[in-house]
Amino acid sequence: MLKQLFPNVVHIWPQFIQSIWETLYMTFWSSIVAGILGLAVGIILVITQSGGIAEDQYVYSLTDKIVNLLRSIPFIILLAVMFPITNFIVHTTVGTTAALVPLVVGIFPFYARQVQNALLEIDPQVIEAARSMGSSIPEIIFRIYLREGLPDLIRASIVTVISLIGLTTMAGAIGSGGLGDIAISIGYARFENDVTIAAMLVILIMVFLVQIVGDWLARKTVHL
Amino acid sequence: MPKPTNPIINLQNVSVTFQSNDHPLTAVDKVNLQINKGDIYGIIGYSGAGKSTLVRTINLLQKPTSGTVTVSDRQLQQLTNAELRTARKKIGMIFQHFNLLNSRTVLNNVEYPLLSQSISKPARQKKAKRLLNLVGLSEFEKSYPEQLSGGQKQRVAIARSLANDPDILVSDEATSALDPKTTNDILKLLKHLNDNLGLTIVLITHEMQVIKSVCQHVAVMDQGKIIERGSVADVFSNPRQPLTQNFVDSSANVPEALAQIKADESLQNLAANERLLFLKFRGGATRQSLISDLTASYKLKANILFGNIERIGSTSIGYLIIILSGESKRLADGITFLNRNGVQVQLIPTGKKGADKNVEATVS
Repeated sequence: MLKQLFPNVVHIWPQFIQSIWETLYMTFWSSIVAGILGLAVGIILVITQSGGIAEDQYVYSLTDKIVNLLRSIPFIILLAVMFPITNFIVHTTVGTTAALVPLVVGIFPFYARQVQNALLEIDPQVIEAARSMGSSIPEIIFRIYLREGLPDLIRASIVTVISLIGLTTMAGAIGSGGLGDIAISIGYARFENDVTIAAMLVILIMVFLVQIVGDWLARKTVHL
Repeated sequence: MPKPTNPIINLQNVSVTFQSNDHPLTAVDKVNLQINKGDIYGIIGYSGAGKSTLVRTINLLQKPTSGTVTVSDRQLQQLTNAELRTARKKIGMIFQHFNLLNSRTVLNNVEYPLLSQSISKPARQKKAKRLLNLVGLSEFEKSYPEQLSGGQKQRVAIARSLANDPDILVSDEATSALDPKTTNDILKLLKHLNDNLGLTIVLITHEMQVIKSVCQHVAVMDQGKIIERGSVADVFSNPRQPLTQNFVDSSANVPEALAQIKADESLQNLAANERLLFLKFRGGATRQSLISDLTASYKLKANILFGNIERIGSTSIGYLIIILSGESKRLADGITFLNRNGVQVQLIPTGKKGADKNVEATVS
């Protein structure tokens, strides 16, 4: 059955499985790194904005501009532009690990904005109440912002991880490996459409799984 | 006279100016405010009067543009950030919209202010449970704020504000989002805390009823300034400012009663020996039997059309609208008697002209 529907996939089966792992590898590690970076930048944007708990218009406008700038660069161009920096950081410019650098740079500003929007949803009066109780800035960040904003942060993370899965496939263009890579280099280049479709199906399954798990987590954190 | 102790809250010449679109807006204008320990001090004013901004200077949530804020003998503006945070823990605050943490249970909300203290988890929970018991919400400790009613949420907020054993509780329109009965319950709770914990309470509101039921002192605020202040009974029984009069009148339903009586056709043609009078008396006068004295000593008849006694703190303020009838000499004497006993007498004009000169002269 599988052999009839996806003859070429079966033919390259070990490589196909390998691609799935590569996609998961890229998604996982760039999620972790971009997640931490995006969260930090998102928090900086929220606390330094005018009226924030650590108001600082210079830090805010600088951070804001960097985020806007990075978000404006098309990812496919970013992949090429990042070459020297990637080489400097991970000492290689090809393969899965090399793809992590542009993936992180490509996704973290997006996540930072999502984090910023999620945290801005928290009632400023709740923050004021915390200040009135003598909470320090780190206490407000960790005990109020990140906790009260958790359901929205989880939703923002789902959207980001799903976008990231999309970006990992694009990184295939620079030989990153993964499902995007085989969809293009094998499925498209050799006219083996079944490989492309199989890669797409696996990607779809990943996206659905992220969505389902994320929704479940977000629901669990809302207390009505 | 006992040696005066320093006020627990002392605002000296406090101004707050907001810079909005290049024309500055002065929300608080050179306010001096002293509040003594153990007082329940009300600040009343309509929205936009600057009362919220003013009370936020007490814990420096709002930094004054000028002036000094001294709380418990420490000038807050001179403190470091860390010292200020410690000082804030001794100034509890409750809000109109409760501002609870929706991601935490009721118990965890009350525990929140203690998280930054070096106190063990069991000790922290024990204290939070005791506070929940104090506000009457023990059985809700595992609930989340969204599952509670407004009054219950405010109780949680009060318990939370008490977690650090504050000396002062600032209440920012804490009852404005609540129905009258719940408002009453919350005010009773505040009074109870004032009596039992010696908590100094600063309460801002736009409702006269709130001030009347719990406050000892009151300041009336308008356009960033305190326009009138003093003991609640003094200020409201003898308002000097039109705005204060406004609050009192609407609270005592006097304007409605006067309007109704003036509109009543049957009162337009009183007999020559009848006078329609509006009497206002306070304090001691309410305890004397003035009306029966009028009847007994001056042989006057008093027909009561409207009566209302407002209790303000421990003082009563009475309002009466009566038709007083009798011989004109006796009428004048009777009114003099009322005046002498601290009753303000106002003659309400009726349709008939030619009122007695003697009577006209005695009433102000």
